[in-house]
Order: sequence, then C-alpha cells, then structure tokens
Amino acid sequence: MHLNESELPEGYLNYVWKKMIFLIGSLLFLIFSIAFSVSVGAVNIPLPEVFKVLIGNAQSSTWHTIIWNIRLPQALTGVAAGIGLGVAGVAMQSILRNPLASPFTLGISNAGAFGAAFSVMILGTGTMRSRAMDAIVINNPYTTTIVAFIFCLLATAFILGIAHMKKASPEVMILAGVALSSLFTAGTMFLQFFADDVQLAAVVFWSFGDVARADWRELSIISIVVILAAIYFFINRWNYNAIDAGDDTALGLGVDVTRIRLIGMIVSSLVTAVIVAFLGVIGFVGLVCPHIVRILIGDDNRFLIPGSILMGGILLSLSDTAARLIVAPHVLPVAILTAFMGAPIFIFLLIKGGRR
Amino acid sequence: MMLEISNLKFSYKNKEIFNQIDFNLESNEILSILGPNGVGKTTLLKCINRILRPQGGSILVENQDIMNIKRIEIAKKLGYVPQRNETVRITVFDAILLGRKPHIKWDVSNKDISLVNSAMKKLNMEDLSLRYLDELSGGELQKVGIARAIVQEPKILLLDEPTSSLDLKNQQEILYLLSEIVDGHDVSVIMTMHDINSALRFSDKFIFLKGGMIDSVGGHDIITPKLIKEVYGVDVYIKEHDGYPFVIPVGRKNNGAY
Repeated sequence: MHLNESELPEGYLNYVWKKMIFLIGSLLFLIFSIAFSVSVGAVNIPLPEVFKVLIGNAQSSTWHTIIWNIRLPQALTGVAAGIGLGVAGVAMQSILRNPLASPFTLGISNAGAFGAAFSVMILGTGTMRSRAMDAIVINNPYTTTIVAFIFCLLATAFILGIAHMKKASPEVMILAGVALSSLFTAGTMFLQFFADDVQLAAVVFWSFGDVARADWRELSIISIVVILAAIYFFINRWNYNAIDAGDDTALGLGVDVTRIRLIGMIVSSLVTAVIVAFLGVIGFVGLVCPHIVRILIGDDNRFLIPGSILMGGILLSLSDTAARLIVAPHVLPVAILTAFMGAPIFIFLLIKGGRR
Repeated sequence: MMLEISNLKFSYKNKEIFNQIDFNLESNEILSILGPNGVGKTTLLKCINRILRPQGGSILVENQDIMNIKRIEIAKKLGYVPQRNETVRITVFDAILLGRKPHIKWDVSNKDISLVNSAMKKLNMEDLSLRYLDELSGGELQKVGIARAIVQEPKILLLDEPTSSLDLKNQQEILYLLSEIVDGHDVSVIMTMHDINSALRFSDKFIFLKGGMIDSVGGHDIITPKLIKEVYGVDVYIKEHDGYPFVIPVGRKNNGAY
C-alpha cells in the first residue's frame, strides 16, 4: 500500500501539545514546590528572601546557613530521590508489563536496605552515632552502595526469574516481592538482634526512609545516578512503548526485548540501591507516581516517563515538606507519610485488577 | 523473488516442531499457512522474521539473508501482526505511530506523523484517531495492528490468524483490506489461517503443514479432497463457486461413520 506524505493531522497535534503543556505545568509546579519546601519549616523564610539567599544576596547569615546547609540539600535530595523512584517505578511497570511493579512492591528496596545495613554493620563502612535523627554516617558511600546494589540485583534476578516463568501474573510477581521483602526484613532483624544499642538505632535508620539525612556529597552521588538513569529511560521510551504492545509486536518492530528488559532492570536496581543506601526505604513513590500520570495523560511512555519523573519529584518534595510541618517542631521521616498515602492507592490498584 | 525459504528447521526444547521447510513467495502474493491445531503454523510464521530463531536454514528477503542481520533491519523488511493486540491506554494514532519504530532515530518526524495520517485515511480509520485502544472492538483492534504493520513499510506482512476472533463482517473487511494492500503494490502477505474457505477465497498460494513438514505447497490447483483428508483427517467435497473452490465437510452418518 503506497502511503503519501499528506498534511499533518491537526487534532493529533493539538492532543500532543496538551500533553506537552501538562509536562511544562508539572515542571513549573516542581520548581514552586522546591521553593516552598526551602521556605517553610521551624523557621519560616519568606520566598523573596529565599531567592535573595540563593542568588548570593543574603540579608541574614542565619538564613544563609539554614538554606544552604539544611533546607536546600534536603529539598533537592527529596526531588532527586522522588525522580529516581518515579522513573524506576515507571520503567519496571513497563519492563515487567506489571502495573503493580515498583522498587518497593517487588522487594528490591528492602533487599537494598538489608545490603546497606549489612555493609555498615558487618563490613564497617559506616560510623554509628546514637543521635536519633542522624544515627549513622556513611564513611564509605561507594562500598555501602555497591553492597546495597548487589542485594538489589539478587532480588531483581529473582523477580526476573519469576517473570520469565510462563503464566506469572502481575499478582504472583508482587507476592514474590512480598516474600522477598519478608526475607530481607528478617535478615535486617537478624542484624538488629545481634546489634548493640547504638547499632540498633542505626539499623532502624533504614526502615524509616528520610531525605533529611543527605548532605551535599551524598546528594551529588544520588543526583548523578538518578540523572543518568532518567536519561537512559527517556532515550528508550519508544522501546518501552513497543514492549507495552506485547513481546512479539516489540520483536517484530526490531526491539531486542531481552536486552532492553535486562539493562532496564539493572539500571532501576542501581537507582533503588543508591537511594536506599543513603536515605533508607521510601515506599510507594515508585508505584503511585506513574499511576497518577497514567490517569492524567495515558500510558504513552514518551510522556509517561518525563511525567513520572516530574511527579516523583513533586510528590516527594511536597511529602517531605508536609512531614516537616505536620508535627512541627518535630520532623517525621517522609517514608511514614508516603506509606500512609501509598498503601491505600496500592490496595485500590490491586482491587481494580492487575493487568493493564 | 520476494521471499525464498530453504531448509528451515526449528525445535523447541529438543522437541522438533518442523524441519525441511522450503517455499518461495512472489511479490503481490498472499500465502496462507494451513494445517491442524498445534502443527506449528504460528511457530513457522514467527521464525520467518526471527521472533523465534530457527536452528537452521536460510531466509532470503529480496535476495538478502536475514538470518544474521540486526533485528531492526529485519523490522524494515517484515511486519508482524500478532493474533491478539495488547490494550494499553494509548490512542489509536499513537499505537499506529509505533509502527514507525524501526525508522525512528531520536523521535518521530513530521514525515512519520503524516504517513500514519495517510494510512489511517486509506483504512477509513480517521474517526478512531484519538480513541484509546481499550475502548475498541476486536475488529477495530485488528485493524490497528494491520495499520501499524503497514506504516512500518515492510516488504512482507506476517499475520497470525488475522480473522480468528472476528465476526463475519469484520472477517470480510480484514481480508478485503489485505487484498487491497497487496494489489498493485510491492508487498506480499503471509498469514496463518484456520478458516480454510476464507483462505481459499483470498489467497494465491497455500502451505499445508503436517507432522513437522510441508505436506503440500501450491496454488488453488492443489486443493483436493485427498489433500484435506491427508492433512486434517476429514472427508470433504470440493465445490466450485464464483471461480473459487469451497471445502465442505461430508456430514457424519447416524452411526457415527462418515
């Protein structure tokens, strides 16, 4: 059938433009939520002052210290972690063709948490302190991350094995994830049982994921990994669209499905490992963000991947701000808040039915 | 010659599905792969574009052996339409646009978008353009799969049971559509079929598979009651109507015998 190059369909172009507007709007909202997050807390700093401090025109040295040493790294860590979890979640959902997939629901986060705890306690890559908020300092972030990554990969290999089995429904994969989570949580509890008081406080660290812990050095490691991963996933958006259409269709369209799947899972695991090693387990962000975006603009990965990236940043940034305000002057770990929000949505998705 | 297949072999976990598959296909031909359930029709179809990798043999598309070229290069020559299309929440237009995947470098170009637009016009699908896949009927979904393969601009379209889950009207529509696609264009079609009479009506060439081999290959002249009995184990009459042969099973007698 001979196809002519005819005029462009206006309806479709408008439709694409609407999605672009959604993404641009989300980006602006993300920038606003970062500014808001830096501005509020135990000391409220008005937004104009925040901008003055950021452009190096600070009126007060206290505000300068608060913003540059505490608020800004925390806000940016929240955004980076949210982006990482959001993009890992959307990639896993596409790669495994499972709407319930995410680093947390597949047990990969808990595997990473065990790996990090193992590294710090047994291999001595961290220093423990008995302060409640800042119980641990990771002296050797690379070893800790690598050990966390190895355990994430173990969990990933197991999940891929399950996915490879014929008739492994999305629910079966998630149940396997529950089993993995239990296994690695038990491992972490085992470490806790033999820990002294100080170590115990430290290991609990990983069960309450929190973005307040990271300093600039840790933030840069997280950011580099997250940005590279986000670029990788965005480059592969058409491959994921093809995989969404079914393995045979994807192969017929020239996509090397096995390779794309394997590399995608390894990259998602790395992102998860880095976030978990520094911040602890933050559940449900990776699951929920892609679904919010799916409802708003559909399943097309060209828009879904950047949408989930932005939504992850927004959601974690806002959650972290809320966690600081709800019981002020105390600060809740953000993972508690994401779990409260995420669990009901997870149950809703389960009831709605697994298969897309 | 559009396609030359020789000595094709495929085994699945040490179980031989077929060996010694040889056939040719000219441009503008529609070929149907026929045979009983489980004989390997779909497997053969998937081997032709290496969705499944054959263990031996050669597949020449316009004299180029595709056994050792990159998958993306195969995708520019052979389009594949599976039996069932997944229904993710993307629009019909985007689903068809996915067919440009082998030609996309960084992102879709205006040329890709206008080709999809042109294909949708030719298939009378413009009204569906912004509908989501999960809102479509089986026939509409099948048309999306075919449209996607067409914008891939392949030399050969491979279709797995294109009419299996469709009602009579949609079956007719899809089969006439395939005839139009090959008619006067530099394209051929290979499809697996259960419905032998539709295959006879719309195809130029037939392959009958039996026991891992090609039992017969040829045009309408090879269709005989003996062949059908040999392949399907069923006694039939063959009647001619409108210039095409029709296969009519001999009814069972009351005692269960034919």
